[in-house]
Amino acid sequence: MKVQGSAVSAGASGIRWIMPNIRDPRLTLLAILSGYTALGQLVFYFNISFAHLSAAIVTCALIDLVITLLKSRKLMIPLSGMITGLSLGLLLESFNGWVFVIAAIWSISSKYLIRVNGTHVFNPSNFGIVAALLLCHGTATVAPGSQWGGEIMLAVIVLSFGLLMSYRVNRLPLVLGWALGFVTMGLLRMALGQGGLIFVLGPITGAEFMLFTISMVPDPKTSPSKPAVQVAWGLAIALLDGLMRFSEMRFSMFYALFILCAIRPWFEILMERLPGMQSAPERLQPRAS
Amino acid sequence: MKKVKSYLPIAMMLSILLIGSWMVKPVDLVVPDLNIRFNDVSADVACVNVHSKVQLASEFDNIMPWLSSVGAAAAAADFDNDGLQDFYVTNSGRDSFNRLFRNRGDGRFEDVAAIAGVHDCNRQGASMDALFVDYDNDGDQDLYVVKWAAPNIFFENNGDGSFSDATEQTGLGYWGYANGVVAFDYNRDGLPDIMIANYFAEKVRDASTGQMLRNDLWNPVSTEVMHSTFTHADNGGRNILYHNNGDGSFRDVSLDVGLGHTGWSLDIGSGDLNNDGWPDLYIANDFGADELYFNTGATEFPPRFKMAVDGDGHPGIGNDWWKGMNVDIADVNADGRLDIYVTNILARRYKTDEGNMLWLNSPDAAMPGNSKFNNISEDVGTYDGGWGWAGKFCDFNNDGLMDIFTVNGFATGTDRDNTYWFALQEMVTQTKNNASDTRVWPPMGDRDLSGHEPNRLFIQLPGTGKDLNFVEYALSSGITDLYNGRGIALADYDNDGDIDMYLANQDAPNCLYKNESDLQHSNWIGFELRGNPDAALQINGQSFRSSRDALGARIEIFTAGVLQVREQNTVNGFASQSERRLHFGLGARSAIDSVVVKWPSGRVASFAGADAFAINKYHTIEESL
Repeated sequence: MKVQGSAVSAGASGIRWIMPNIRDPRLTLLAILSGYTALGQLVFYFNISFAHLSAAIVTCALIDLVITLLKSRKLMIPLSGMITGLSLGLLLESFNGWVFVIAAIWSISSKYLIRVNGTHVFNPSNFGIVAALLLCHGTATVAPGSQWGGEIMLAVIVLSFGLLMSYRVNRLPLVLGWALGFVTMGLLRMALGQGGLIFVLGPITGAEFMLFTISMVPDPKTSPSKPAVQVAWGLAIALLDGLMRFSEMRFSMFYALFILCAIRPWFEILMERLPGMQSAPERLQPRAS
Repeated sequence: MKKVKSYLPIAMMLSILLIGSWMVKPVDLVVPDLNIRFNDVSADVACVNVHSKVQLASEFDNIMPWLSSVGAAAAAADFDNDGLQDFYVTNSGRDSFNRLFRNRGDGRFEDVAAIAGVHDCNRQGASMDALFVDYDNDGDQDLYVVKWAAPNIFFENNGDGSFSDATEQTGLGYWGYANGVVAFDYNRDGLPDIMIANYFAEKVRDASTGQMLRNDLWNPVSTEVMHSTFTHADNGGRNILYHNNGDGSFRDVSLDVGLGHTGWSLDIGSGDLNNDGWPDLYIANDFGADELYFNTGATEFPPRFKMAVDGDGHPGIGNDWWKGMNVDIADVNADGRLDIYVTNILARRYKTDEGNMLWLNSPDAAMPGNSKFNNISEDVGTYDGGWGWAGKFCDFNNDGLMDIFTVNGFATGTDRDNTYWFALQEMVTQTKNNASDTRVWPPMGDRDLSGHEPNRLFIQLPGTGKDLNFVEYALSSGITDLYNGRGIALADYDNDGDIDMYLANQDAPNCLYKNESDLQHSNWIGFELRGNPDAALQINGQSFRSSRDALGARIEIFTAGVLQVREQNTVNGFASQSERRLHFGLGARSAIDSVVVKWPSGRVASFAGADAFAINKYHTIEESL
């Protein structure tokens, strides 16, 4: 695992304390999500259960911290775990508080147990959400976005910060590809009679779309790095999502990303064989590193 | 060995998934045999109405099943003072007739609505709810029918089995979109006041001129009539509190007393939540936070209503789910404080965190109204009510424990798998005002939306200590209809000491579930409270009286040291009104130790000793000087 930050000290135990690098993009994302949550709870009345949110964050952070410590004898603020926990806490809904704990365990476990070539395959929060949707026996769903106020200004602010962060982690083409693909598929669905413009494109302004777009899609570890492949990846998510939406399947974004992450090696091989994309994909690292 | 090692992480992941999935798997509850049995006897007793729904202008055709999804209501009362409970039920289709089912006393009913002059209410607009109330304290139940897009109608009971239209005289002919109506005496002057919950806005902006014009859904000037958001909408109708002037007329005092919110209200519940002797209000709002108002009568006069805010400064009493459909108020845990049951929307495939709320009331000096409310619904098993509508507290098996019954279901399609849920949730996932125009909604057609749902009968089981525990028992008890229920009128129509249920189902036949439970070993007692509006009591320079309906009166009975409380607020519940008599199950207890009646006038009447009131009978208690 590549650690961003500076080692502060090493005690007799050999455990090194790692302070996060201020330029670490995960800090930016964490700040965006935290600010969004605070604004929502205090100003816009998101009405998210503090207990559920805390359960997801604490579980993710704790597991991430312990595994990192055991694996590399490094003690560091579990930024990734906290981001995953925040995403889960914001997006998941369930009357059963245990769902948030279980989904958090699933998320972080997937990060350490499902790995190919030394890196994890699935975005942890996406994995946790999909697993909860499939395995929690009708007790877990994703909160529809407008439950959180429906204020367009909030959407614009969060999306702007999200795009900025995507740029910092070299995933702007991916996010733009996804957004462009979503619009295209939406217009196609409209042409096929599924609904009007607001029905097919309106979800872009919702929190569900925003959180997915800023916290899961541009995950550097689980997405291609080459700009052209990124665009193709984003379009592929949109294609799958659009097909599922046309089939009236809820939570389609999350399923689409999950499926694509599962077949990512083959996706990249396919991309390699397309004209103009022959160079091997570079290792995925954020710009700030 | 290396191969095994490479599969180890996957095996671990699968194990974690399986264990986690097993941990959150719902436990299959063993339902005990409770000897509770209901039987739909509506056809046998000639109490049958097939609700007709509204048909609005064709501009709204794409979501007509949604817009025409309410209107079935039921109210129980003894309108002819013969000691038998009757039912008034609404229809909503144009020119359809409402019905007044008179209880003949021979086990059958007859529709006397036309004879009584209360049938013809749907020539304009559509009936949505009905309320029996003795507004003039003359000893008979008058009738108020509230409507959409037409003046509400007030009928005065002539005392001879007929009613006269007194709408103009009373000033109660508000034109709007009333979905609910309740009566309570907010200022304790002995005159019943009336409050209506309005849903759609009275006026909308004309699409062509920009002027604010009457929002007539039969002759629309705009299709932008829907809620601005699904969670914070404030573009609905204005609720109205009518102050009873005492001269046969009412006046709108809503703004004077602090009730100015324009949410999408479906129901209003009244009850003295903080035990200060003054009726408080809980308003269930669709597409927005519910509102809780405490009556300020204990500290100022004339009283006003002060909105309670939660710890974060938001309206209400804690996390609610913005889909309040129903309010009923009663003491569910026998601690002398009234609790609140609010129905919401839960669909396990689509929405899992918006179940019904059971707000347990406990004293807390640091909270508004000195009352703290905790939603215990999930913990005690009253959470999953489906797409809830009316919900009522009642002791159905006379065991001395308060149960809850709810009806549910939105729109029934021919194919329950051909659902509108996807379209609905795509619209929910939008920002403000995107969904306010009906034209942007996908056609609903014949799609199902939480149709085919069984009702819920949450029976409270004897607990250990103060813990509450309910088991869902509807199907086991014979409540098997899958109609889309709206209103519930609870009444012991055969005077046998157990509570029967009239269910008003939307666009479907009603049910009259006769309680045929084996209750041989469970005793009961019932009381009708009659206030004396002529007997004023002076307290701190103010004069207080009780209405003849004794609205807000409280009766406490003690049996073997166990307290049970009922308040005269049976008007509560979405599209529902239960009979006025207050019913107590006693279980195996064979005598009452004492009875205390707290009248709205401030008088307290105490009756001690087992001989004061015989069990297994109804008694009338009149307020005396």
